[in-house]
Amino acid sequence: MTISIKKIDEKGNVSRYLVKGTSPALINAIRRSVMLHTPCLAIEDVSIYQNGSVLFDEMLAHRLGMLPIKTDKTYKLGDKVKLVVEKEGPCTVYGKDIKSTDPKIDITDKNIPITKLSKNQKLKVEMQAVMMPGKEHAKWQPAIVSYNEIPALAVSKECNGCADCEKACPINIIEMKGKKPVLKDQYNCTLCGACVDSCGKEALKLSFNKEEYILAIEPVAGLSQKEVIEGSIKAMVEKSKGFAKSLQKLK
Amino acid sequence: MMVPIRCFSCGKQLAGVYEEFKKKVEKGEKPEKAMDDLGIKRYCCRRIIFSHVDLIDEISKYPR
Repeated sequence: MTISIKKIDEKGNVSRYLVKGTSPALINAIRRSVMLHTPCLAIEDVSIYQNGSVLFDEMLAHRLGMLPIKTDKTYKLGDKVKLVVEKEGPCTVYGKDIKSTDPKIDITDKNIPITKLSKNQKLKVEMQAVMMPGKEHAKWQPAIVSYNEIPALAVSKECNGCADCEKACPINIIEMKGKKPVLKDQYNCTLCGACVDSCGKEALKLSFNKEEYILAIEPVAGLSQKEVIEGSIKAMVEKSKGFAKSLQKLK
Repeated sequence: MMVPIRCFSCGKQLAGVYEEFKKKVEKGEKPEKAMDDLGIKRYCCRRIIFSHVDLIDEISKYPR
């Protein structure tokens, strides 16, 4: 069984893929591997030299820790990078004010407000970002990954072509072709089941293909969708290799 | 006090669009439409943006 992947669409930062020849267990393993074992950069240590803002040091450090940092491919688990921010009020300190010592590393979202400084208030902070997997803390999750089933509309003989299901669909993706309802856009179906409930003859059923799934990936750490999946598979392969090694020692 | 950087539930970064959202709503746009346009789709993220009260300007009047 070969697994294939094809892009369905891309909306802003979110890409959706059609994965064929897989199972819920496998696709969930990929999802969990991205969440737990694929490393990315996040701020871990913060040295505060001056914090004149009304935010307490702890809150400021927490906000800095949540920041999305553009992760470079060359960085490996445990690698560190130093970042600095220095500002004087009155102003709002944004993500773009943070300077990195490595030109490859940057804050992905430059418009994130970190704190506000009023007149004569100063901020001087040094930070250290570390490559870690999401298992340690959710701030190291490189992407938000989800998967869902692809529905198909199964119409039985009882259907009289009343088009109630067409009217019931909240996102208007059911179309009457001849006298039978057809699901126009199965990739955007929200699986609400309004069509099934609306049918007076109980002629409709949503059926699912057990081997095809939609995988949605929304990177947050500046890695591309492909790099995120590659990283997750690499982590899974390494884990299995370790298991195979210890299996050989088993008598 | 300030808008949360990430969504509490899913981890999406939201703070970057908050100022744009505020501007759009002040112009008279419906919040639901503004959120749709800014790509805030899930309800976990929507409640963070929608229910946030920016208090930092009030607190800034009484510095430490």
